[in-house]
Amino acid sequence: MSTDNLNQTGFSQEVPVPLEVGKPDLLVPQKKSLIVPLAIGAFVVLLVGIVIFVFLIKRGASTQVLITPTPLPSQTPIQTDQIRSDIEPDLQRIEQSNPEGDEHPFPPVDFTTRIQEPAGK
Amino acid sequence: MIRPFALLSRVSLAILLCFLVLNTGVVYAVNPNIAPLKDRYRQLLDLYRTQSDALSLSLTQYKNLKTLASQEEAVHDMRDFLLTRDDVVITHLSILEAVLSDRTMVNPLWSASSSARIDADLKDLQDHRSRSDVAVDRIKADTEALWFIGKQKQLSSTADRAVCLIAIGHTQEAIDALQTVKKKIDLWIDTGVMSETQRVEKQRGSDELGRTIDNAQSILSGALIQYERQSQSGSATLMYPQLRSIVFSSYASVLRGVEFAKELSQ
Repeated sequence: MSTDNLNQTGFSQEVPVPLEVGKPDLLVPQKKSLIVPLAIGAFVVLLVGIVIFVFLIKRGASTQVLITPTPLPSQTPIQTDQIRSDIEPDLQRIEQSNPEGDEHPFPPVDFTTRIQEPAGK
Repeated sequence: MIRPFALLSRVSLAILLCFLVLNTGVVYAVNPNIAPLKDRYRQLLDLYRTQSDALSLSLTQYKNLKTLASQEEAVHDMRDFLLTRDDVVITHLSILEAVLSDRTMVNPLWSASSSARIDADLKDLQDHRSRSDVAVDRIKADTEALWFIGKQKQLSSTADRAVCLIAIGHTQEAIDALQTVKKKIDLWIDTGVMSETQRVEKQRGSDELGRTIDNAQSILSGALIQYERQSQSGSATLMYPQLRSIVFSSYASVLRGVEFAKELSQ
């Protein structure tokens, strides 16, 4: 398109054409607006992670999982004395956990005691 | 508009608060101090016996003398008796609840349900204790004594249920431990220094041990099914002692397994 044609339409070459309509003149620098939310997000995620981690550790420690000794490697020959001493604690624990021992009988309290007026009063 | 750092501090504070609340709950739930409760129970039971004897004497005196002074004495002793008896039962139920929460149970839902029932009974007993504390005349003291008579069935059932669950937990732990023993013995049979004849003989013994464990687990599983059925029906007053005897027979099978294991390791 030649300059003659522009002049015919009434537009001048010197008039600046706005690049974008409706944009504010002062733009906020984009770098700062990205860093702050990212930092907040990372911090929150870190905190939540720590909380969940500590909670799970506590919970894991609370459940009374019976820790059994690691089995010996299958290549090592096991002696009779060794197996005896190895299973002895388990067997003792079984015998001690006797449910028939009844550690918690109901208290021997009298349910029938009353304070009634004596007869013939 | 909330500034980013203000928002950040609020979020952090909320998370820390949640953490503290959750953490406190867990520590309380899994670390009940059972030993001090047991000590307190023994002391209270001694005190109860002493007060029971004193009450028996003052009631006899009241019955014979029929005087106002003897009545006041009997009411005073009755009040002490009611308070201590409540304390004894409250402490007993608290021990059961502590043991239930302290152990890894076969079904956590069952122990939770049993604990809820204990909590309800504990609240009733605390209320009763408060009423007994102000029962300063004969009629009020007798009313509270009557309340306790009516509560006997429920309290016994709550305790029986918890004890039954604890027995089930004990037996399951014993079965699991025996399984571990069998694995160790099997490993020994496979790799141990012994003649081939001995190995075959030990293997037969181990098979027998396995059948014993299966039998114990099968009996216990039957008890668990019955427990669940009875718990759901809600009319489980007399079945807990019966269930416990089934659990005991499962444990008897475990003990036979223990003897097998001892023989095998000779």
